[in-house]
Amino acid sequence: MIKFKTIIYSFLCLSLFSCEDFFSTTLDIDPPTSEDLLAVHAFGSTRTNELEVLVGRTLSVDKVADNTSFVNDAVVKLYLGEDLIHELESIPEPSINTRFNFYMPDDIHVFEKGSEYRIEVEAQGYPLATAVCQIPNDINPTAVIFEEDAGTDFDGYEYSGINIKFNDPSGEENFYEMTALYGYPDGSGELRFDHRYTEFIDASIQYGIDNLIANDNTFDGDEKTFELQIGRISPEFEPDELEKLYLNWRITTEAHFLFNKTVNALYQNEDDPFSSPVQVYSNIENGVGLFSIVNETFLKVD
Amino acid sequence: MKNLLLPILLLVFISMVYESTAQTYTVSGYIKDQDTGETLISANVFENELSSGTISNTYGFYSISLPPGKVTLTYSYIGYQNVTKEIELTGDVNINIDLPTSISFEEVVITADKNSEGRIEEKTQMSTVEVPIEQIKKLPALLGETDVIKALQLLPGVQSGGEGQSGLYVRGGSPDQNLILLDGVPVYNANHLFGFFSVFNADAIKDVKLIKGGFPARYGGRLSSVLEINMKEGNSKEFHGEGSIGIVASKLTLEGPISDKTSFIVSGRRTYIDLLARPLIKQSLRDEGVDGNTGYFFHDINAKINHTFSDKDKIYLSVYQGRDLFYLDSKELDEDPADVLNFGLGWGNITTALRWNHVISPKLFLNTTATFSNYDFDVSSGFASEYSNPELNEEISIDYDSGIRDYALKLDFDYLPSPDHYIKFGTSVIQHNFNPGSFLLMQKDPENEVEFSETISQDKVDAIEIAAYVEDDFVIGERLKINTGLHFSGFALDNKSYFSLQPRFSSRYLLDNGLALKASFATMQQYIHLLSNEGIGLPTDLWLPSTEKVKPQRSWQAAIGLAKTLGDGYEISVEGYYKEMDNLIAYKDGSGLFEFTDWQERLVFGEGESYGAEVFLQKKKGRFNGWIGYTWAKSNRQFEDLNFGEKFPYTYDRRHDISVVATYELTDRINLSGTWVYGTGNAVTLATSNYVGIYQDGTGVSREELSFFRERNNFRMRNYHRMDIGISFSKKKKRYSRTWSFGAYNTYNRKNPFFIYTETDFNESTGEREIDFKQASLFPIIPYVTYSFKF
Repeated sequence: MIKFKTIIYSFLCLSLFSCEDFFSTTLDIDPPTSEDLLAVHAFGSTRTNELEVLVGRTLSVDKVADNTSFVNDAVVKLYLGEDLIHELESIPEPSINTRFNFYMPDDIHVFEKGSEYRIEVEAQGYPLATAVCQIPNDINPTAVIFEEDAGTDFDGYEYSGINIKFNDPSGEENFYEMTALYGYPDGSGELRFDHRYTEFIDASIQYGIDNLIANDNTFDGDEKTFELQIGRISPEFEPDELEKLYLNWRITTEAHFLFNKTVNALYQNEDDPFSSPVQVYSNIENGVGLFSIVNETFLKVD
Repeated sequence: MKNLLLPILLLVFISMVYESTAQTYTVSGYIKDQDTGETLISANVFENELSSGTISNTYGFYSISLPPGKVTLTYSYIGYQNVTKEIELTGDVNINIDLPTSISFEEVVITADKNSEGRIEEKTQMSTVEVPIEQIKKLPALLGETDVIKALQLLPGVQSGGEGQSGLYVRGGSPDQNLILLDGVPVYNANHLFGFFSVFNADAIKDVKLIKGGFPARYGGRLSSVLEINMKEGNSKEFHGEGSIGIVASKLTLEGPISDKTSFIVSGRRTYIDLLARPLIKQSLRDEGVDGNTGYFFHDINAKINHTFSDKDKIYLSVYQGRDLFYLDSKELDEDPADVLNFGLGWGNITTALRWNHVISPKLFLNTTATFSNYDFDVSSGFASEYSNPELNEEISIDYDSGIRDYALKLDFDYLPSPDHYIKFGTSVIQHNFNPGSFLLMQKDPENEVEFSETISQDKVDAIEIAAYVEDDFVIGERLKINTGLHFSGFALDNKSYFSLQPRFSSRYLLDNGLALKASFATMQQYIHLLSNEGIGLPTDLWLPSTEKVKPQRSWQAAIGLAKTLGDGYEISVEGYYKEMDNLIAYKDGSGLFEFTDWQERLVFGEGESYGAEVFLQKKKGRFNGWIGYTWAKSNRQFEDLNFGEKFPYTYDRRHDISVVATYELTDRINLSGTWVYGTGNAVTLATSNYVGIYQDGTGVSREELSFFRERNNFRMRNYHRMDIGISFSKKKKRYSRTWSFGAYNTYNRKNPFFIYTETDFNESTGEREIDFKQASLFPIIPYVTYSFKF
């Protein structure tokens, strides 16, 4: 027969034992098994005819991805159909702020809208990484209209509006990207741009990385007006402000749209432990990243 | 074809019923506990000579039609002595039976057991488990707080979401797919304390039944399970009470007769950490120059009153009210202006059922129920600056509330034309009112002449849900028993309606060796959805209706199994199942809880499948009770807009799940209990690699550090296992009996995973950042002590 005192003593021992680390036990665990892949990010634009490429590799998730992950001795080739356009030059000794390590200058090739380009990245120890991108055709706005009074938000801030009117081509999926910008000449007189914070009042628009993105799921083949909102500009009192107002208008691929959307979602939720996980989109075969050439224009907002 | 199915089935029923109703008389009545007057659910009634039997329904009513002449009826129920009645049957007769409880375990001899309707091989229904509440109360519990839901998590095919959580994940389904009925009323949030305790107070509960598949036609509205919990009716013979004082909560239950025909039960429970800590917290805040208080508590109250008008009419009124509240109030002392902060976070359920049992004829029983159910969640926060001159006081406050409210009316008929048929049919209508969330913002600033209040809310939605069903549990020959039926349901909003006809089928075929071969098929449709964070029973979870965009969830499930009663009170069942679900909802990639955009825009839609095998060995009689359950299962999800359209494992995909549960009456005074559980670790999504990415946006190129994982839920947490033990000492005193219960949760202090996180450090020796993976556990070994009493 178990004695009552024995039970009590055992219970007290258990109580004391449990006081250590009460409600706060942690354990080191092994990180998930990593995949060693080439990370290729290649961006081109019909406006600049440049191609900027960063070739790196994925690191184990317990390592910090920095310049040591760059693969500077890769061979990067750009094809138009089956024709080799250019083997990109490597940028020597990338700095800590390096954004890309391979580059095709604007005098090599003029990107052809509607054509399909292919990129191939060859690096020792990795399978050939490839991706294709068909440059979207023009979808030009029929009007980009400034509206001085475009409403007031909940905090009482007043907005001006930029209304972008265009005709969405029917029967094909189209992807749009837009950014309101300040345009100003630099020392050499060349026009430089800075972001201007932009909101929207349109359910078909969503946030991208420092810009707004949309697909035509809800207005395929229709005439459409995107209504953007920026901080209030009064042309009567701030004529210079209106003078500096530009719009970056891009027609992108689905891959570009998904990459932009998922990277933005990743950053928006990185500090929220309750958010659902985000898979960053990739169109690189045998690797991760994005190959995208966008159809891009800068428009003056009047 | 579907439109023809219902009339055809009805015709089959009617013809079979007509054929089998010739020249019989009916014995009917109620079966009750002799000591308390509580009606007994699923008690057996058996006629040995004719090998005919039936069971009592949810209200203790039974009806058996037999040929004229001398009949010998044996009434039996586990834990009770048998009662045998010899009757010369010359007409319909009403016999109410009071079963005496067994004096000791050795005396429980159920002579009719061999042929009893209550035996597992006799039941058509499969995938169903009834756990006696007395057994649940004996099991060791987290912090000594007996929890019905946590006991059910120990059954095969049922699992918890995470450490200590009260959610039920049944056969690969999610918690919103469980129809939890308390006295027939849906309970929308069954959690207290963020899911660590359930809302069900075991002292007020009479009966718990969980159906995991092969759903009879009378149930509908959820895909994965039906959990039916019935409250006690109250002792109609004597006044009694029981209560307990535990580490986190105390409870008290009182029950007794009000008159010969009326009895009541009322039971309350409250946590009191906030009350005990209040002086310390107030002093601590005062030391910091603040007058205030903070704390958390939950309480719940169950009450039921019932009145018997006659043998034919009874009426019940049952009420449940429960609430959780976290509060924080503070005001700066000796400051002008003084900053004032008020914060409250509360949620709770109210359910009410008014039930009328009417025996229309000895063969036809009607239960009419009117119910009300309300779940609400609210947050209030206010900040103020209070000046010595009150006219200058500034205030800003934000209040938020969301919830769901139902009014329902149900008619349920039991028709027992012959021992070979048990027909149930009925109809119900529910009016849902959904409140997807509304904010009330208020600001007052006299100095700057600001004063406004504004409500920002998502539109409240009213919807009507209707249902009608018919089912028959019937016998064909000596070996085959079938339960088949149809459940029709509909859901109507202002601009959209959905309808569904759901066939249900289950059968039992007795093999030569006493084994029962069982099979079932059921389709289900669910019109309401829970927008929820997986794993944690947060009160922010939102119940939302099907809309034009959000389609009703649908499923079908097929199961096959074997069952047999072994000697000495043992039962074994083996089942395999396959379930498909579609129109499931999930958050879009990156959507979080704390977004206040239109809820429909935050969702993606997909499908799921789960399949598995379950083994359940249970001992139901004697001093030693318990069960061993094992489940092998797979559960996947596939959403077009998640995981790039590829199939991925469900978070609660658990390959192996084992539970061992045992209680042992060492003596009449000492009870030992223990549980051990093992489960494959939950699937979580972790990045497998980091890399540098860039993005070119027209003004330049930005550089981003990105992470990569190939598929959702790609990483398995450590396997979960835990042992809990308990011992209780009971003693009868002159006027009451008391029990001391001691025990420990997680006895061998296993560090079970709760969540995984990363920690980034700077390594000075290498000059590099290092990222470590950590697993956080919630509960180490936690002992408990509870004092309980009965009088």
